[in-house]
Amino acid sequence: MPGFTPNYGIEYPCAGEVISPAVFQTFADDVEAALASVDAVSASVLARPRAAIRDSGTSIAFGAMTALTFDSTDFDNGMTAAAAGFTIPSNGLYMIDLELGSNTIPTTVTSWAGAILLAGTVMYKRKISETSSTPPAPNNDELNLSGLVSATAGNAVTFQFGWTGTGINLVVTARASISKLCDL
Amino acid sequence: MPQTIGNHGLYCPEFDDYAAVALYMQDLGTRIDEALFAQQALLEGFLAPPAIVLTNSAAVTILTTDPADSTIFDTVVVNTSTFMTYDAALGELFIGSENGAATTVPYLRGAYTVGAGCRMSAVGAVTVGSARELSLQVVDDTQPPVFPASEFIISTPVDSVNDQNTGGDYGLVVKSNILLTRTSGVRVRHTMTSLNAASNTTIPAGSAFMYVIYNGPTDIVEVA
Repeated sequence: MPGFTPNYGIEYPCAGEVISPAVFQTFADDVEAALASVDAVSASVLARPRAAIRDSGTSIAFGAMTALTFDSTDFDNGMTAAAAGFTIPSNGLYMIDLELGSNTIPTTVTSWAGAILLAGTVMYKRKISETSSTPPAPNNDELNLSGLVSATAGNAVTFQFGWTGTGINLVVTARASISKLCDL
Repeated sequence: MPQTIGNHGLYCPEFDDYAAVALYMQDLGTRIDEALFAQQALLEGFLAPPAIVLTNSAAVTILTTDPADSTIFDTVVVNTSTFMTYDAALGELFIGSENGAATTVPYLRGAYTVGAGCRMSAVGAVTVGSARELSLQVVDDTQPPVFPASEFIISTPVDSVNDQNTGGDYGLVVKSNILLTRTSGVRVRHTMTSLNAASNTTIPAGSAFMYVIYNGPTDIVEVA
């Protein structure tokens, strides 16, 4: 009657058993399977889901918060990056960052805001007020925000921008990134 | 005399030690099992670091007569740690044992990320230019006080904006990385402030978050 190790079930012979080459093969196969299971965990550690996407310029009128549309992917490792944002691949805690900027000079700008949404709900928002009604050029404004979310597989991560003021549309550039920090 | 192999406690028997082969295979299998299990535990620990996330399940009103609120959060969304807790009455998140209590829950020494975000809206009229502010304070009461503070503050991330009466809500976010290397518990406090004098300010339910996540051990870098 063979014995088995407690965690990976590696089979070994007990005293009095005939030890044939098949016993050694079973032992080696079991060790190989144990190594493979640890390899799988190791691979997860080395390849955490993370991605970054970029918006080279979306024209947004003043008023309501508007969804951002991204047109290129900087990198994507285990996420699903698309024009609207990301799709969460597995349950966990994710750190999400959003960087916004614009060189457009409309007539007046009184506020800027960016938002990170999970499954359509605003999770983090940052809004700043302009102290000058006519922003200087170039690079009249930048805005960064980030936050940790508890997300489930399939959740959509999307982003919004909004501004108040008057004049022509702001052409907003953006970069969004996400990194999984923790399994849940 | 068995020969030692590598540095994981493995060995091989002598060529003519046939009687010990079964026992050897049992011992070898057990040692491999233990070594791999320890490695897997370390890897899985890295995949699931201790973390805690808080939110407010109910709307919070900041009164014009009491413009700073430090007990916004009432709900723990997730807590994967065994050493972080939140005291809603005090409005303080504890990393390790609570302040003033015996150190029965030591925290993991190393690097942490703390952060928070919230949205707030004036209920009625807006005092143009009035401040909205979100701040965190990471406090270790066992550190020597730094004058003029009466306690040692490790980090104080703050986000502040002036409401120019542009309509809608104002959102604020803060984040900081800290290194905790001591024994006694550390407190993370929050304060959300509205200096709108024209009307109260509300923080909608589920619109405020605070989090702490352990990033892993790290050596202390001393700067000369």
